[in-house]
Amino acid sequence: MAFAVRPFVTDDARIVYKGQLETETYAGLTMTHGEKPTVEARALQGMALTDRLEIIAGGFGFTYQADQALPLDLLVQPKYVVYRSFGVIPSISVAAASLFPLSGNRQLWNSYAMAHASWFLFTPEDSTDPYDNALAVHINLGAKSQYDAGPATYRSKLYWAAAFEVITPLSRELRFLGEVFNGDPFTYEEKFPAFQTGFRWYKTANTQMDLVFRGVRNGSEQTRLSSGAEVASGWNYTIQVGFRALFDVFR
Amino acid sequence: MRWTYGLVIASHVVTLSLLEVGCGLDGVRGQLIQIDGNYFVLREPSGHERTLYLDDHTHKDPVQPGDEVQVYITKEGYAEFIQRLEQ
Repeated sequence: MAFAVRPFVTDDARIVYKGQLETETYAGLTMTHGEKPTVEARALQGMALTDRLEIIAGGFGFTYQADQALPLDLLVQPKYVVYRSFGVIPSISVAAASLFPLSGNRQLWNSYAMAHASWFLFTPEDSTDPYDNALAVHINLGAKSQYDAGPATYRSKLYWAAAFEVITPLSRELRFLGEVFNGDPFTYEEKFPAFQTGFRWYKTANTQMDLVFRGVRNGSEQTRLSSGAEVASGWNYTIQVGFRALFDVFR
Repeated sequence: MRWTYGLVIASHVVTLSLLEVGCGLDGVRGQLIQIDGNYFVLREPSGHERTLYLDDHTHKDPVQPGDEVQVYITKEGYAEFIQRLEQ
């Protein structure tokens, strides 16, 4: 799943402009080791309430695996930009998020809290968009947690992620990206090694499309992802296409 | 579990420290109502007016009084970016 600026799993230390509505839509196919493939489709919505505070809420979608469709859980994530900077001094933001089960499984509640540092580098001299850069680097550090409503136990462990996005020789609008992370922040059992790589095309300033390939090695016997899909131990691979659009609703 | 608490405390210390030294650039939207050399006056939607300054390092769209702009400014009122918004 990607909760930040699509298609990254790693979050960045920026938000959309105040009054902009953001929507991220994607669909993917996961080849789960030892299980049937899983199809997932989802839409996320976000809006900046102030110059520094953004709320992402929604996450409407479903997974389909072995002739069974499950609704995806509801996501709520506030993010606050603590320090905004461009160039070698990084921007810093903090976020916390929780998933609210819609699929009927109210046993496990996943959440996270993390800080983000982002470097937006090599802004062209003639550009007035501070986020128009040739290279962006993002680092996340925090904790992901899981509450088990049965025995009422709460577990927490380190979460980290690192990502980059760079322009390609073909054009500034086509970017190559890559990241490594300590598993999906909403899937407690997932851990490093996990990676994602792919391309993003900035069709316009407000519309982007992407194609990414992800690999996650699951070390435990069997894991239920936050999407509801079952995966066995070993490497699992996902290919995903996405679309991100921004609307100046209240801007 | 102990390191998790340590991490949370460290995050709070870093966050509060950043809030103490300043929050970097603010993004402000408003209408340009006057330009005078390296100084200009911006009227925010609330009606509040700010006098800001720029220099050769400012990334600036061609603008004129009356334009709606998005400006990224330091606490001292220096404009690093001036974007002209579509009317």
